[in-house]
Amino acid sequence: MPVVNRAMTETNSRDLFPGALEMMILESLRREPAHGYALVQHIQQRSNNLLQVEEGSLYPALQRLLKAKLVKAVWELSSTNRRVRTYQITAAGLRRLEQQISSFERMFEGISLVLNPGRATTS
Amino acid sequence: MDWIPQIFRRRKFYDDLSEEIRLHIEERTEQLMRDGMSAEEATRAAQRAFGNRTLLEERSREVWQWPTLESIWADMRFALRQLRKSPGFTITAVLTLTLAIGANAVVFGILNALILRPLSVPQAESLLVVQHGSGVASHSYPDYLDLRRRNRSFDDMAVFCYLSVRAGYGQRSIQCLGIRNQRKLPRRIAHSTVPWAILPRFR
Repeated sequence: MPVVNRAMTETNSRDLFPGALEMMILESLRREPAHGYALVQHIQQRSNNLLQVEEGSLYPALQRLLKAKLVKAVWELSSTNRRVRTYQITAAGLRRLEQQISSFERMFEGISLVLNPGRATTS
Repeated sequence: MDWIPQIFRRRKFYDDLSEEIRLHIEERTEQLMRDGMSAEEATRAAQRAFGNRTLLEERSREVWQWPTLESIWADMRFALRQLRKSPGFTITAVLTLTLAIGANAVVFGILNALILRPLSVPQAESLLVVQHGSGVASHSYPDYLDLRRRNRSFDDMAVFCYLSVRAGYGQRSIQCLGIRNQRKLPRRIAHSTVPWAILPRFR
């Protein structure tokens, strides 16, 4: 089961490719703004628990996205009256997400062709 | 130029990050307690699920830093603290460096003024020292007057004295300068060193 828990410079066989976490964060925020804990829960649930996100690894990724202005953050009260820092995707974040998804799909198609050359892939 | 406001807002970024992480772990703890864990177990489980908080917080802060510069700055602060702890060694080292650098600066200053820098006169390359055939550059004042009267080679002539006020009539302790505006030197001019001088205006 892939685990997202390492910095981009350290990889092992359990880690996803670099940029995967940022892409999933942007996609989650595209659906709706969320704070850190909610993002972790969302990624795990959407992946049917196939992806186990080490919760703390989210924060360096969020800081990178903040610095690149792909997301913005505001402090507010959640629905449970808890103070949270909610992240929202920006227009630049949406464009970056589209590029990353397109790049990922090309990569996935290439790998699929190598692994199963006889099978036609759908785009 | 986004990095300029980032320098001043870094403390706020770090504070927001620390607060956010604290609230995350708190929310996780409460979730686990709702699921039936005791407070102590839930806290431990939440911290385990979060990971190495110190390391992750440091990695998050590094996003807003320039690691190389920050590292150099940290090393400099450490070095200054060490120097403060050993005042005797610090004073000795500073005095040694001061003396060495000061001595070098003085020597270079003299060298620069005397040899490397030309005189602050127009067309300094056209100043020539007149000397006797044997290479002696000192003249007596009557000799100078004689040279000046018979001068056909220079546009003007002047005299000066090296760091001394002993020059006087009949004493061979003055130097004679010839001034030419032409680049080619006549054969009888043997030497073109430009010494210290306070010269009259020349044409």
